[in-house]
Amino acid sequence: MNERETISQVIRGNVDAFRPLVEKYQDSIIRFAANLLGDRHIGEDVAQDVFFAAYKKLASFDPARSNFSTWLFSIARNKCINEMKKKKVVSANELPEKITANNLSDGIANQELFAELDKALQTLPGRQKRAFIFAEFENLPYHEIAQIEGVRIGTVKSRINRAKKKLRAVLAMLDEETI
Amino acid sequence: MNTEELLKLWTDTKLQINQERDFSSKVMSRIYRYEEQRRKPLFDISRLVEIATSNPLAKAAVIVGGAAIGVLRIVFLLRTFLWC
Repeated sequence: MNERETISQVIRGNVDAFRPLVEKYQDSIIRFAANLLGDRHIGEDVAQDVFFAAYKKLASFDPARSNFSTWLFSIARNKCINEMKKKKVVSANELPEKITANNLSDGIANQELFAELDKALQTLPGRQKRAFIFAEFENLPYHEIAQIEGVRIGTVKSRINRAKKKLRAVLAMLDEETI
Repeated sequence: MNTEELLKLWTDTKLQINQERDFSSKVMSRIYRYEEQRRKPLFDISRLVEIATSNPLAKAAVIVGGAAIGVLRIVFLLRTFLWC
């Protein structure tokens, strides 16, 4: 059974037919929400809300306008934005702590670097952070990101480039500190 | 390792996710509960009682409604006796 048929079945009242859709997209949605919100547990809760909301308004999904995954990511994006409004906003001026890893092995040093990158990701402006996560972690094509965000492809590219530039700058700064 | 390689390595680690056990079951049980609630008839007495006892606003509405009916009954009674 293909995805469109599955969706039709759910709309016709076959509740159980929704489960394969959840199973197919749960990893992407949890990962997206967890990375965007910077918290795995909150990400999972939001992901649950995303699927529940998707189920409730499944009849409004129009396959002619977008893929099911794009539609689902749009719901996830909006839910995450709402959740971020509730959460304490991480200051954009907050710089990552400097690593003084004189005696750390490469593996541990990398882990520390990644932890700092995680922090740096959370300090990015929301639009840049979302565009970066969609492109780099979810591997979504630019046109789909543009559709989800409701902007032009050029805007998406520019947001991703700005995010990468900031993350590279953080990495360079951390790298200098470790040498 | 240069900056680009580190960035790539970091994004690769972010792709890995430890799948939460029973995530889909949790979502589905929430949906089943929702469907159960939705399919209950609107004027089910037990549901009305449930709503009235669980929601403070509904409780207040029931009390105000009861008080209004009581006052009206007294007014009608008095009117009947006084006009006879």
